[in-house]
Amino acid sequence: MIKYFYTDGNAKFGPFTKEELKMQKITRDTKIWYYGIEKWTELSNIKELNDIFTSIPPNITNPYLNNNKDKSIDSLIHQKTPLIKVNTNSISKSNIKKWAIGILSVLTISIVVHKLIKYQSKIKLYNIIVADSYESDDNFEVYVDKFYRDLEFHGIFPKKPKKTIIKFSKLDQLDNTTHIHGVCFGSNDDDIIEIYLNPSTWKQFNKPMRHYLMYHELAHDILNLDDLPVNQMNEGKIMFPELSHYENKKMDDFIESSHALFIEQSLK
Amino acid sequence: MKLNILLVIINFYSIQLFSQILTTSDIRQIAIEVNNEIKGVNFGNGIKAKGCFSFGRKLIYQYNVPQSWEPSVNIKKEIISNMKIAGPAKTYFLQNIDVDYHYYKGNSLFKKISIKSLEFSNYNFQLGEYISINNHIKAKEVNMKLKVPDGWEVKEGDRPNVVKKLVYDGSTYLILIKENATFFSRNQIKKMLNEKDFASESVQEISSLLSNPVIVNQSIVTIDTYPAFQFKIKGNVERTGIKISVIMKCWIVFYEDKIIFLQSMGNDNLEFRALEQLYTLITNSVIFPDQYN
Repeated sequence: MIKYFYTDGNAKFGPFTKEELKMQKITRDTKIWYYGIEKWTELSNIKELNDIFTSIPPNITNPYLNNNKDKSIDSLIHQKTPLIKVNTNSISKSNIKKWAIGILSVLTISIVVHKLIKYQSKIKLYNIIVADSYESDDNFEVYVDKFYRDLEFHGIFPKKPKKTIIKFSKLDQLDNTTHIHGVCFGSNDDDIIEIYLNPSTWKQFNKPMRHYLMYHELAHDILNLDDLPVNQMNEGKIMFPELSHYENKKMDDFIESSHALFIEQSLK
Repeated sequence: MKLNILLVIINFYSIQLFSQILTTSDIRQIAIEVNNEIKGVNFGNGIKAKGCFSFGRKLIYQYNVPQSWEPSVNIKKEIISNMKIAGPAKTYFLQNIDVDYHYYKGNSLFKKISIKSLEFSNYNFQLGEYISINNHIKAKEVNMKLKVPDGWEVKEGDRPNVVKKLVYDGSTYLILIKENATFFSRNQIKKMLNEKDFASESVQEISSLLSNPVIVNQSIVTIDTYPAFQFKIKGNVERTGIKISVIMKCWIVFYEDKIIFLQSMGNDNLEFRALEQLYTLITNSVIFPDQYN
């Protein structure tokens, strides 16, 4: 008597007699093998099992299962997980996906709009500052040279842009700006150093404060560093934004602060 | 008459110029010899030499004068002037010997004249007005000022980095400023100066100017709150085929991101050693005004 084996694609089941095979959860596409044929063959292609083939209803397509569109409803019936649950999960995942896409889209649009507004106000601010800017008698290039010299001394070699703009602009007469001492527009652009200083601040500042201000702005511009949070721990550091607190600082304080910054950067 | 008396005194004591620094025992020996020569000698007009003795690096001449004797108003100036003309003034100055003249009427000291060795010098050890190198093209933004000795000329430096030079009769004091590798705070420099290599590297630049350089002495000092390295070095220099023994007294001041050399140089003789005091006075007058703003 011929003994039949069938496979679900993963495991092999059998041997079964023809009668026993009828009782198995097979479909019209189930592949069958028995001693005497060379390879696994679909049930529909085995003549002697034609009566079993005709006794099994044909496959239907489940519209909810895009990924399983080739699978018959029968094959789904044969899955360990009930069909209804599979459908629920699929619907739920699909909904979550749609929601997520929706939220992400809203967020992206918000960020883009926010950035656009910010960019536009920055452009507006930039245009005002540039329009009001003028050359100073002070030689600011000296500070740039010293900054690069100190960077190199600490083993940091950033690109030195060919274009350097350091000018005075009356920053304290601007609205909506916190940078009343200086502002830099060259950060994240390695091809230019662009800094505007408040002339009244510059006049008021003593030698150490001028060095603090120039190194602060140059660190923004060349090293792309941000301001540090205003707290006691950061007081005295080059990237501390409230430089007006540095009235009593000496050149020694500036020197040791700049060394600390460069050592920190060189370790990065 | 008074002037004559002084000249006679000078003629009695004319010590030769010594090439070595006299010790206090050398000075004592000279005093004994002079005492033997002049004791009881009558200079005329009733003035007699009472004797000569030494006290440390001071020579003290004693005279008996008649009751009618009165010193001139400018007797000290006249003595110094005559000493300079006659020669011993230079020896007193170079050998760092102070001289006292005591005039007795009977057993009472009637007049005492004290002359410090520096007062015998042709150099003026009085410092004059401050000069500033602020905004000088070679000063590299160093704001520094110092006092110039009276009578010294302030000249521009010819060589690169030489900001100014103070000149008097072949003696020179240079102000030279160079860039340092980066900024250094005073505390950082103090620590570095205590490292042997750092100190010797600092001297090397100066010593390279000399052949067979020998460091006579060195120490860490402070010049207007800034740490400095002070040293004296001697060696030879060759000028148009002639080898000259020279001696230099230098101060290297580490100021922010600059190195300031205060440099004096002269022939290796007693005159330079005497002038060291003047160079030290100039260096002590240095002020860096920016730190006080």
